Amino acid sequence: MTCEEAVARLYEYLDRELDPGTRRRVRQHLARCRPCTDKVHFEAYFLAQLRRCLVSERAPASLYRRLEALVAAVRVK
Amino acid sequence: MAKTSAATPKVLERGSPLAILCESCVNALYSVAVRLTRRRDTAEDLVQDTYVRALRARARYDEELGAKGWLFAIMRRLHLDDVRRLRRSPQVDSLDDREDFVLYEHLSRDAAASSAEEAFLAHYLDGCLAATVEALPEDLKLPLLLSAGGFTYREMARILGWPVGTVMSRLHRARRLVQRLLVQQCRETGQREDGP
Ligand SMILES: [Zn+2]
Repeated sequence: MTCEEAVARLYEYLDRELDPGTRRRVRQHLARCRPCTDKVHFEAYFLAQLRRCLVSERAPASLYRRLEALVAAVRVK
Repeated sequence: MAKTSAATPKVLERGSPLAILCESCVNALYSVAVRLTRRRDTAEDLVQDTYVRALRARARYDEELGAKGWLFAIMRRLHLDDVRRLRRSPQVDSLDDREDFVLYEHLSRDAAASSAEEAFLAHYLDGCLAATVEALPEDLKLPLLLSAGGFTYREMARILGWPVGTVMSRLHRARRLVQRLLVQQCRETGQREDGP
């Protein structure tokens, strides 16, 4: 696998969406390629920051009260 | 909320109200709703509307999607209805996002930072990232948010009603575009700082 091929699969690799064979070939490339490994590390970090930033909100108590009222109304019916 | 949070989607009986009110679903829906609507009060309304719709349609619960995926699919439809009605989808499509890994390349050139990651922390994490994602067009923002929420490409395809290949290309494009916009902001900030 070339650098170009490895980089083209980088997000699928980090998202764990590659088939086992391709995943193994990407791993083999990374084991002997420092520039691609650095890219993978940075992108993994970037995706972790996205997760941390985008899905870390806690629903406020006011929302839970509204939802509980909805569900209670359904149970009464 | 303590009692209902123990319920898991696994034990969902045909969309039982208890299971779809699980704590992980509410927090995830609210997080994504905040980014979609860019307002906390509107986000609360969107999540509430999602539950109203889900409870009304619980006989049509999609077992394959699971409780969380099904709720996201409903929320996505409601949100796109709002966007269409209010016509407030942002336009950044004209930006060239074909270049790969621009953020990494840009940060690697920063000689003062000991690593690209530290440079990233130093420059961009003060709210920039969220604001940049919020400004994306819906077709790019949705896969980005769902992916951050832990859904697989297949699950996203089902939630969004797109082929898996479309999910993948839009998700990857969204990530590249976010990086490009961050670099652009960084350059603009730098220019302002260096200016007269
Ligand atoms: Zn390489």
